[in-house]
Amino acid sequence: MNLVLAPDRRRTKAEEALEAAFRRIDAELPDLDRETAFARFAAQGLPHRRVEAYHFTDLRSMLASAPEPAPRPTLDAARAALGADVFAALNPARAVFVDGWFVAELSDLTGLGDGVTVSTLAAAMAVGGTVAGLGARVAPGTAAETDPLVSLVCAFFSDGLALRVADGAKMARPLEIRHVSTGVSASAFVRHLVEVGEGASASVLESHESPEGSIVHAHTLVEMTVAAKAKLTWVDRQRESHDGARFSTLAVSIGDHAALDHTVATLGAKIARTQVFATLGAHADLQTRGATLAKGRTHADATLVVEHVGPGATSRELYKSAVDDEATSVFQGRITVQPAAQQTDGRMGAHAVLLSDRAEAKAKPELEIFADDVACAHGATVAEIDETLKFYLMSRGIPADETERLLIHAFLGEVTDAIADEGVRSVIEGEIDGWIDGRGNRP
Amino acid sequence: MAAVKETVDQVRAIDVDQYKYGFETDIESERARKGLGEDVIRFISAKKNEPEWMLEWRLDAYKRWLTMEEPTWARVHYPQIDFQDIYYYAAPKSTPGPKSLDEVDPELLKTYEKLGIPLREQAVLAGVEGAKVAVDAVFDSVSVVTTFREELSKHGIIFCSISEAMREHPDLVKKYLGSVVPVTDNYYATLNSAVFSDGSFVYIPEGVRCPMELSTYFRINEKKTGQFERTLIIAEKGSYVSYLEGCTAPQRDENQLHAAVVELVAMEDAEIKYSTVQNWYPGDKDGKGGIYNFVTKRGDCRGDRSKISWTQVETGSAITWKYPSCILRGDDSKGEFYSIAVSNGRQQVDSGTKMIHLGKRTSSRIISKGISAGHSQNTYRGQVKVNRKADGARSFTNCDSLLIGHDCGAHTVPYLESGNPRAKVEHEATTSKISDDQLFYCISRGLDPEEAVALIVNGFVRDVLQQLPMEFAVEAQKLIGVSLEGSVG
Amino acid sequence: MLEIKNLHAEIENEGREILRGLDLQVKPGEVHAIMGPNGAGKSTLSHVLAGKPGYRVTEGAALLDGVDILDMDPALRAANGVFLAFQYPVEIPGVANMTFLKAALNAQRKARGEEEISTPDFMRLVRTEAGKLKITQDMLKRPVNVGFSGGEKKRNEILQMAILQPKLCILDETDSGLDIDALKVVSEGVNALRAPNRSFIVITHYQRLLDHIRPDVVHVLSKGRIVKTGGPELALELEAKGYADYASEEAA
Repeated sequence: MNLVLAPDRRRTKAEEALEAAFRRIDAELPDLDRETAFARFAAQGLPHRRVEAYHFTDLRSMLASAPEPAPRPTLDAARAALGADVFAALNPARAVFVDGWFVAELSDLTGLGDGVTVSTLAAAMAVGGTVAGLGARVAPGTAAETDPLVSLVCAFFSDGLALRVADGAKMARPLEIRHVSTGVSASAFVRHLVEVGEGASASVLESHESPEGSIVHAHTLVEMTVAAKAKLTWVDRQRESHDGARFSTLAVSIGDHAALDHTVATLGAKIARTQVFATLGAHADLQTRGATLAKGRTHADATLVVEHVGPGATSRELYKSAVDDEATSVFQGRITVQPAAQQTDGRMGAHAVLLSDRAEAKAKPELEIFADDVACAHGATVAEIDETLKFYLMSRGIPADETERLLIHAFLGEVTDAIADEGVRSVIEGEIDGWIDGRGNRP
Repeated sequence: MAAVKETVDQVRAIDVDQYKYGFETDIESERARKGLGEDVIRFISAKKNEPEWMLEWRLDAYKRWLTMEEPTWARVHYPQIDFQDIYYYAAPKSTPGPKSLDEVDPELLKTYEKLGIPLREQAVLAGVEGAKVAVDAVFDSVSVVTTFREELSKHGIIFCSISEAMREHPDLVKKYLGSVVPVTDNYYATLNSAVFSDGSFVYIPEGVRCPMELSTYFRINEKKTGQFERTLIIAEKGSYVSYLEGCTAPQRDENQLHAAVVELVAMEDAEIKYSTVQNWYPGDKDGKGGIYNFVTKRGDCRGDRSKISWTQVETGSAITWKYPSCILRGDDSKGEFYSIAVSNGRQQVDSGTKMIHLGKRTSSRIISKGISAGHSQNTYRGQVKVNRKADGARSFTNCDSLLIGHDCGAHTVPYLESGNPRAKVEHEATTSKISDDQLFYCISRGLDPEEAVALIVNGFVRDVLQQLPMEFAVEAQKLIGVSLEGSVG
Repeated sequence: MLEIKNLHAEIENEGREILRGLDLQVKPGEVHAIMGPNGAGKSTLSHVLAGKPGYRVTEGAALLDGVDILDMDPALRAANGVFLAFQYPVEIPGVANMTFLKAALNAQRKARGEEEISTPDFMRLVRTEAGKLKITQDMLKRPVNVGFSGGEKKRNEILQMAILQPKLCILDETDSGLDIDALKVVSEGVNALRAPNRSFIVITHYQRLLDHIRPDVVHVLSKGRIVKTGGPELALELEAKGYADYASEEAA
C-alpha cells in the first residue's frame, strides 16, 4: 500500500515515523480495518493551529518525534515496571497494561460479580475472532469520528479490554485499569470497549503512569456505551513522565435516563490532551470534572465536546487548572444542544490559576444552541491566586508558601469535593497535594 | 413604556418582507466597469485624483489580495462570491464635490428623508440652525456632503471624506492609513485596501473635545455594487470624539457585498466613542437577497490612558462578519465593546470583538447581547488575549443569548488567552429563552404577546442601549422591534 | 507595647499620601480608640500595621515591643502578636474554618519555636471559645466565612482572636454592619480578652461601639495624623458635635 500524507506539503519527522511504523505493524497485527483508520489520519496529517479543534495544541509543531510502537514486554520487565498502586486501598479488580499490552500474570479480574465479563482484545484477535463493536469508525456522526488522535489509536492499537456489564448487573467491586511503562522511548496504543447494560452499574478506575525521564507517547481510546438507566462512574488519574506525551480520548454515548460521573486528574506529561466526546440521550446526566496541574515546560489540554441529543438532559462540566513555571493549560469545551434537546440544562466552568510569571492559560468555552427552551451557561476565569485571600491567611500567621499551598488546594477542592466516593476522593486529593508539595522541584 | 409602544407600532406597521428602506434613488451614476483588475483600480484612483503613492498602495494591496484565500472559520454559509461580477465603483454623477447643501441633488435629500432614522441629521441636512451633528454622507461610494465643516475647523478638527483628506492632508493619511489594519490583515481588508472608494476622515487635535457628535450615513444604492468605504479617525493627546455610523441599503434581490475598514487611533488620554446602527437589507424571509457585510473595525489605544469604546446595534444584513477590536497598547488604556445583534429570517451573524492587552493595567469590558429568531443563526465570537507584559490587566466579558422560536441557533465562541499571572480575565455567558413565566406575567397585566416580547427584549438589551447616544438609542430600540416582527407565534 | 513614630504611607499605585506623620503610643493592657471622619486614614492605619499589600511606607516606624514590624511580612507580624480584625472579613471557598484555625495557630507556634497543638487540645480550645461566641459546629465546618452573615463573620474574627491570643489587636470598624445583639456578643468577646499584656486599637466612626468596649484613651485621626487625644469623654464629645472641626480634605 502507498499512503499519501497530505500531498501539498512536507511531512514532519513525527509523521514520517508514524507512516513507517504503520507499514510495519500493519503486516504484524490483525487487520480490523486499520488501513481505513490510518488513511483517515494520513489525509490530514498531524493537526495544527489552523485546525480549529487543535488551535491551542498544535501537534504538528509540538511533536518532534513519534517513537516506535512498543513490543510486548517480557514478564520480568513488566513486573519491574509496576510501582505502587495508588488505588490499592480501594481493593479493586485489576487489569494491568504494560507498554500497551495486557499482562494477565499481573492482573486480577476476579470478584467483579455476576453479569460482568472482561476479555482482552489481543486474545480475541489472536484466535482470529472479531470483537463486536470494534471497527475503524468510532462514534459515527460525532466529532470523535474524524479526530486524528482517535484515528491513530484505531490504526495502531495493540491491545485493550472489552468490559461488558449485563443488563441490571451491579459490579461487585471497582475495576482498575492500570497503564504503566517499562520506561523506554516508545509509543503505546490501547483501545478499550465498555458496555454498561440497561439499569446496570459499574465503577472503573483508570490509571496512567510512566517513569520520569522516559519518552513515552501513550495513547488511549475508550469507547463507552451506557445504556438506558445505567450508571457508570469513571475516574482517570494521569501521571506520565514530564518528557512524554499522554493522549486520552473518551467517546461515550449516554442512554436515556443513564448517568456518567467522570473525573480526570492530569499531573504530568510534556504534552497531554484529554478528550471527552459525549452524546446524551433523553434525561441523561453527565458530570465531568477535571483537575489539571502543569509545571515545567509542559502543555496540558482538556477538550470536551458534549452533545445534547435527547430532551431534558443535564450536563455539568467543571475543569480547573493550576499552572506553574512555563507551563500552559488549555481548556476547550463545547456544549451543543440539538433541536430536539429541549429543556436541556447545561453548565460549564473552566478556571485557571497562574502560579508563575511565565505560566499561560487558554480557554475556549463554547455554547452551540439550536433549541430554544434551554438553560445553558458557561464561565471562565484566568487569574493568579487572589491577593486578598493571601493577605487574610498571612495576617493570621500562616507563612506565604503555606498560604499558597492552602489556596491551591482550596481552588482545586471544588473539583475533588464533587467526587462522591470518599476513597477515590482521598486518592485524588493525595495526588494533588503531592504535586503542590513538589512545586519547585523542576521536572 | 412609550418606547415600547412605539416598537410595537413599528412591528405592526411593517411586515418583514416590506423592508422599510427598500427604495431606490434614481440618480444617474458613473460606474467603473464590472469586475476587478488593475485597470479598475487605476480608474478609481484617477477618478479620485489620488496622488501616485496612493495608487501604488492600492496596487500593492491588489497583488497581495490575489494570493489570499477567503476565510472560512466563521459560522456563516453563502454561495461563492464572484468578485468579477461586482461593480467596484459607482459615483452619483450630479454635482462633483458639492460645496453646500444647495448643490446636493434633491433626490438625495429625499433619500435621507425617507430613511427616517437620523432625526437630528435630517434637520442638519435641511439646513436647520443649531442642529449639532456633523454629517458625512457616503452614498454608494462617494462622500457627498459634509456639514458643519466650518464650525469644526474653528477647533482645528478635520472632518471630511477620505479622498479629500488624501489631497488636503496627505501627511496625516500617509502616516495613519493602514497603521491599525495593515494592508494584508485579512482577505476583505486587503480587498478594501485595493478598491476602497470613499469614507470619512476625522482628525481631532491635541486637547480638543469635539463639540458635537460626528455622524456618517452609509447607503448602498446601485445594483451589484460593492461598497468599500474606509474610515480613519485620529484622536490626538487628551482629545475626545463621539462618532455615529448608520447604514441602510435598498431592497434588492442580489446579494450586495460590503467590505469596509475602520481604523481608530487614540493617543495619550484620548477617547473615541464609535457607535453603529446597522440595518442593511437582510434579505427576504426565504433568504433571498440581502447585504453581505464583511467588516474590519479596529482601534489602537496607542497612548497611555487612552480609551476606545465600540457600541453596535446590528439588525440588518444577510451575513454579518464583524469584530470591532481594540489593541490596548498604552498603559492604563481601556477598550469597550457593547453589542446588540438581532437576527431573524435567514440572517447569519458572526460578530464579536478582540481585546489585545499589551500595556500595563489595561482593561477591557465586553457586553454582548444576541437575539435569534426565525431561521437565523447568531454567533458571538470574541477573543481576549493578555500579553506577558500586561501586568495588572483586567478583562470582563458578559455574553447573553436569547432564542425566540424553535428554528434558530445561538452560539458563543470565546477565546481567552492569558500569559500574565497578575492579569485577571473573566468570561461568563448564558443562553436562555424568554421564560413562559415572564411572558405570562406581562400578558396577565394586559400586554399582547408581541408587546410582551418587545418589553422583555428591551429589558434584555438595556445595558447596551444605555451606551448609545440618546437619539440613537431610541432609534435602535425601534429597529430591534421591527427586526423581531413575526417572531412570536 | 506599640510605638508608632512619624508614620507616612501612601497608596502604591496612586502615590497619594494617606498617613502624614502619625504618632501613637499604646501601653500594655490599654484600649485605644481611634476615631475620625471618613477618609482620615483610619483603615489605612490598620492595613499598614497588618502589612496589607498595596501601600508604601515612605517614612517612620512602628515598633512592637521595640522591634519595627514594618519590614516583616504579614505572617511574621501575626506570629509576633499582631492581629487585625477585618472590617470586611474575606470568604475563602474550599478551606474549612476549622482547618484554617488550626493551620494559623500551628504556623504561629512554629514561628515562635513552640510545639504544635495536639488535635484533642485544639478541638477542646475551639469548642470552648466558639461556645462563648455562639458559633455553631456547622460554622466551624463550613469554608471560612462562606455564606456567613455579617454578624457571623465578625464573631468569627473574634473567635480567631481568642484562639490565636495576639498581643496587639486592631479592630477595624468592627461595629459596621452589626445589629445591637451581634454588637453585644462581639463586644463581650473582646472584653473577655482584655488582659494586662494585651493591647487593643479600636477603630470606629461611631461612639456606639465604645459603650460596649470602654477605651482608656481616645484619639482623633484627621488628614493622616492624630490631631487630638483624650479620655472616653472625647468620644462623647465627638458624638455630640460631629467631626465638623476635623473635616478631612480627603473626605469621600
